Amino acid sequence: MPGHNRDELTAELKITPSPRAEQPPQAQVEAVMRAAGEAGPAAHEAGPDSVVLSGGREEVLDAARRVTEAALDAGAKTVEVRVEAQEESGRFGEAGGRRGSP
Amino acid sequence: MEFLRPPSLHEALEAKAAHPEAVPISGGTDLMVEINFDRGRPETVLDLSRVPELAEWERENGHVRVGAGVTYERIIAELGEALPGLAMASRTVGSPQIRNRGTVGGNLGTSSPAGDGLPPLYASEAEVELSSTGGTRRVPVSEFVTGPKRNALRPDELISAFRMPRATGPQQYAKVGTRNAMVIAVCSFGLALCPERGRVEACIGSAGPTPIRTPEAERFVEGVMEEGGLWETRGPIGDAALRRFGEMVQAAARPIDDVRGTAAYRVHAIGVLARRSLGWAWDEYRRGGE
Amino acid sequence: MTRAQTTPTPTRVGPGPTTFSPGGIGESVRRPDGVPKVTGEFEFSSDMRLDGMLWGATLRSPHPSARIWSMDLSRAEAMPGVRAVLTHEDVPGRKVYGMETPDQPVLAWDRVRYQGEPVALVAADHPETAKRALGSIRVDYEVLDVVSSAEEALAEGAPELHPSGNLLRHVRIRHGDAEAAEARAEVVVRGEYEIGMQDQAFLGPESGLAVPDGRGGVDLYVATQWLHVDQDQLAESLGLPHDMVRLTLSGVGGAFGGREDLSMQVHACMLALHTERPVKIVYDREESFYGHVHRHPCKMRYEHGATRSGELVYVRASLVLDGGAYASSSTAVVANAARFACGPYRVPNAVLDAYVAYTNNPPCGAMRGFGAVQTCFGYESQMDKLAEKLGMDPIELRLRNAMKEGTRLPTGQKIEGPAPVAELLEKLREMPLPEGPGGGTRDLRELPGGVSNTTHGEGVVRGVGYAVGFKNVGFSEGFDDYSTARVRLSVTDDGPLVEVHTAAAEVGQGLVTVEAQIARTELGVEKVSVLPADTRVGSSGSSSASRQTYMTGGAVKLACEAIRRRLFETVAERHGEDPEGLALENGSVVSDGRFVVALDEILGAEPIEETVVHRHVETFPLDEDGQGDADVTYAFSAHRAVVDVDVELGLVRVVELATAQDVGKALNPQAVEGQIEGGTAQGLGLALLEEIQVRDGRVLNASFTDYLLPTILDMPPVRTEILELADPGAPYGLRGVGEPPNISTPPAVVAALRDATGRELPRMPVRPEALVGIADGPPRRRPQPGSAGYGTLGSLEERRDQ
Ligand SMILES: Cc1cc2nc3c(=O)[nH]c(=O)nc-3n(C[C@H](O)[C@H](O)[C@H](O)COP(=O)(O)OP(=O)(O)OC[C@H]3O[C@@H](n4cnc5c(N)ncnc54)[C@H](O)[C@@H]3O)c2cc1C
Repeated sequence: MPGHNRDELTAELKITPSPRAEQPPQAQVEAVMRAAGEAGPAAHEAGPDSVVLSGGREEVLDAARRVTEAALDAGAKTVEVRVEAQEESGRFGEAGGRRGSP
Repeated sequence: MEFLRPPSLHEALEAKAAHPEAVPISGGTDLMVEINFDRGRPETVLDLSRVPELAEWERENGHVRVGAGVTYERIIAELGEALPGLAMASRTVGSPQIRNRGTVGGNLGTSSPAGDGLPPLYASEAEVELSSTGGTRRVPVSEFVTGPKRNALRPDELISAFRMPRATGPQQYAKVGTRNAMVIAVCSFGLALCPERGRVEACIGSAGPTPIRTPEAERFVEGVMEEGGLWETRGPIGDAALRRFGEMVQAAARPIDDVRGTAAYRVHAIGVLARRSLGWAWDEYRRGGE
Repeated sequence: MTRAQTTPTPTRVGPGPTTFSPGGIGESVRRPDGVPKVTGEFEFSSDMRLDGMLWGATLRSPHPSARIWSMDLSRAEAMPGVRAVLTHEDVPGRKVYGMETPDQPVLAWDRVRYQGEPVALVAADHPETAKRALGSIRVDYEVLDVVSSAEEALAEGAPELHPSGNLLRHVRIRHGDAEAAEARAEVVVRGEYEIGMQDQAFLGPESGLAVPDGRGGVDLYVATQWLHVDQDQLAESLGLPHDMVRLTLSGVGGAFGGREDLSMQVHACMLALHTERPVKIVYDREESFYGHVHRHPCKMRYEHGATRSGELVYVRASLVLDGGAYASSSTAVVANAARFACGPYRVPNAVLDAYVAYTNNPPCGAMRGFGAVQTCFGYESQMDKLAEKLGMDPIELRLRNAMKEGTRLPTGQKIEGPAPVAELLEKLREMPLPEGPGGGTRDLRELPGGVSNTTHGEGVVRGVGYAVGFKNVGFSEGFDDYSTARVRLSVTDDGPLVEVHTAAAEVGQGLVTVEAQIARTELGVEKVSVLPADTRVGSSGSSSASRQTYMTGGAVKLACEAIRRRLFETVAERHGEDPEGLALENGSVVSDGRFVVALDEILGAEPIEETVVHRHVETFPLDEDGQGDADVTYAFSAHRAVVDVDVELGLVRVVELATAQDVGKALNPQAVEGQIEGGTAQGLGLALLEEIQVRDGRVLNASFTDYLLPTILDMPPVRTEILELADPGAPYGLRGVGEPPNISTPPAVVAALRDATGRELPRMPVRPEALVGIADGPPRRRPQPGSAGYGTLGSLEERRDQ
């Protein structure tokens, strides 16, 4: 059953590790996963080299930037970022909202 | 998978001699479960359900010889007087569907410590009849079952029958399971009184690697009866002796913890079953004298 | 030797429409699939076959937590008869899925997080070949530490299952001022309670047939609960647009929440698209235990404060749920647990915290009752404890605090419409008790232990217990919950016909019958045809949350009303009648009982069709203090359990379960009774038997040999009292029916067990060990002969020796 999770934004980051970097490819991906976990919004692995961040617009955009930086710092060759707005989130009422009646 | 379906015992034994790897199937209520669970994929299956000799039973001077293929349902319907303990155990097996198909031969073949057919056979010191083209040998059931799901059957042999004395006194079988039907025994207890020999015979099920006889507890009660002349007077045994019997049976149990129950519970429950079963059997004996 | 027989297989699959003449609403209508199911003629999804069909099978991780270093598929690929061997690399689209949080791999890549996690797929000509191929795949696992409980997962330094940690959601509710209220509490009771992992144990295991359309798309025939949420996730993971992934519901053998998440759907479609052949996947029972989510195990700590007269002053509760390895619907379940943690009572102050954590246990998600089952056991145990401490009758205490219309929940939400908690309890109190355990010879089947001959009356003690529970109907917390119905009124050679088309899943609850009854009632047409549910019509939402009659029944009603309006406009135009005065009766339009025109005539060759979307009132998310109007409406039920316990052996015979439930309006009374009895049986199962036993992440009893469901000898007759207090906001005033009985049964049974044994019984299911006071766990020292005070007796040998 679907419940409260209708996030405004999700960002998927896909990393191509560089074989020539200081750290081995596996370590580059792990560094990115760690950064994603610490970035704030909910982070989930989405494949061997992908992570999805989901949450509010500002926090996701913010986190996407930080994770991208972490990837580059770890030596990754490319980071593909795909940001998607959730269709339904607009219909989502305000937290703590009340019905019309007083 | 090759499927052999001999029409007679003779041909069944020949088939087994020719295909020692063939796995016999009677009711299939154990074997088919194994196959469904992918725990074994026999190359050859030897169907015994069409062998008429295996589906017969007969009286043999004070004993009953029961073909390995006689179903629980028939034991309940036809052998309730001659083998009441086994009939009671049969009533606790599975569901009507299982009792219509399942056989004591299959129960012996599986040799599970939880098999409900086994404690009555152990208590009455039944013999298992093993046949091959070379002949037939009889093995006491306690030697036939060599460990959990292990037995003394040779590759060229089939279980043709078991043989046990006709009941001469009350018998009981009680089984603890967490559900009120269709349940594998958490522990069980079989008991037979043999007034003419002054004997009490008992066996624990599902609380050790094999069914377990309880000689010390049996000798204790026999002593109580002998001492009080109870076989003759049919007087009450007394609570203290019943309890002591339960405790001595408990002491013989060697259960383990598993998903069905803890060892501690099994020991506890065995004691209760032993005490109650002896009480019921003795009450019946006393009423028999009225 | 016998040869395997070949029976011809059909070249088309899929269910047809169900056409019948139902009664109107309020009448008991027999379900059209009832007889075919009993006679074995009904086609379940596992029965479907198609020419040239392949069989799919799934390789699953034997480890609850491991890293995958490599996989060798070569032997499987080389096997004759094997048509495909696929891994995560072959997932065409998104490699993860999930209804709320896509965190679950379609196929694992470098890590597995629970025992049974899918790792690879095989399609083969024969199911046996597929199984053997699975066995030949070599996976190099490095076994990792197991996080085996939610507490462990939330402890400092626990290994993290997912990048953002193990806490999946914390719901915090602050209501009133509990601290200030503590001073007013004259009596305080505390308790810790626990509930094990129940399985839905639907009888028809997961199964479906995927048929490629030759143009890159796929049709999936599947037993599921919500076609469109499957379609969304399939489209994502297959990398296809929605119109290339079409679903049709096929015969469902029960669901209870366990079919809300995907199981074999993506796998079968991947294999079908890859091989360009139809592919069928059917789980066996063991695989089914690994193939779907379960009910959340939960540990609860409660503190109730009350005045000496028994008025609740405050409740504190901390709930910890084990979510297992992936999110599933955990975040919604934990919110339900929190919102209903105080029960259907007036609680002016509350501090509630509910946590759900990732662990290496099997994933948990939706199951009948959805979070409300767990807490009902907690708060009802507390109410009994409080009653005992106050020396009060447990029903009296409940009546004193019973919620009613206008009561505010801890979320601040006001109960609109009837909340008949007191009425339900009064009804139960009025029902006569069954006869006591008389002496004499009783049928063994009526005694604890049943036919196993464990007692002839010895040790048998009677106990009686009560419980009341409630939960929300429909989806909460701001979710856009709707259902779509397309209804068509036409004239056939046999007269007028109504066709009803929705995507709502008939999972056994009787939806097809109810849809037809509504159409019959609203349009006055005898013959109704319910079309197979599929994705050619808009979403109906899930057959869960006790919502489908409310939501899809409501949608059918609206669609019929729209048709009626159009029809009456035409009649008004052509016959000069006032549209307001018109009605439909027995295939005719009438005005004040006067015949105006036959439907055949007015419709002619022009059928009327309407597609309508039905939404319930808007709901809102909870804020940081857990405040908000999160729910649509509520459903209530109460149970009384009468048990006989063999207190020496800890065996139980439930003698009777009596229940009172408010259903708002019983559209099909027979089906309502069926739901109540079924939910009650499932509740009895949870109280006494049903638990997936998990040790260190491993399931110990993935079969019906050791996962015990109640049999007919365990399930007593149910005495049912149905109240019909209309819910003002609902179609026909109806409330959901399916879940409440599953909520209030377990605590009632446990209360009766406590009554009989005098033991605390803080954990469900209650095992015989607990009833006789032997702790679960490693065996203690065995009792020695003589330990019970009979040492002096000695054995005969010993006595002779003396
Ligand atoms: C739902 C269900 C419930 C059950 N409940 C119970 C229960 O309550 N109590 C209980 O004890 N058991 C129970 N069982 C297990 C089973 O029914 C019994 O063990 C039964 O006695 C097996 O008999 P069968 O004829 O079906 O054996 P089969 O399955 O045909 O065979 C069992 C084994 O014995 C071998 N075998 C069979 N006949 C011979 C022969 N003549 N010679 C040599 N080997 C042979 C087979 O090769 C196989 O290894 C249950 C099973 C099911 C499926």
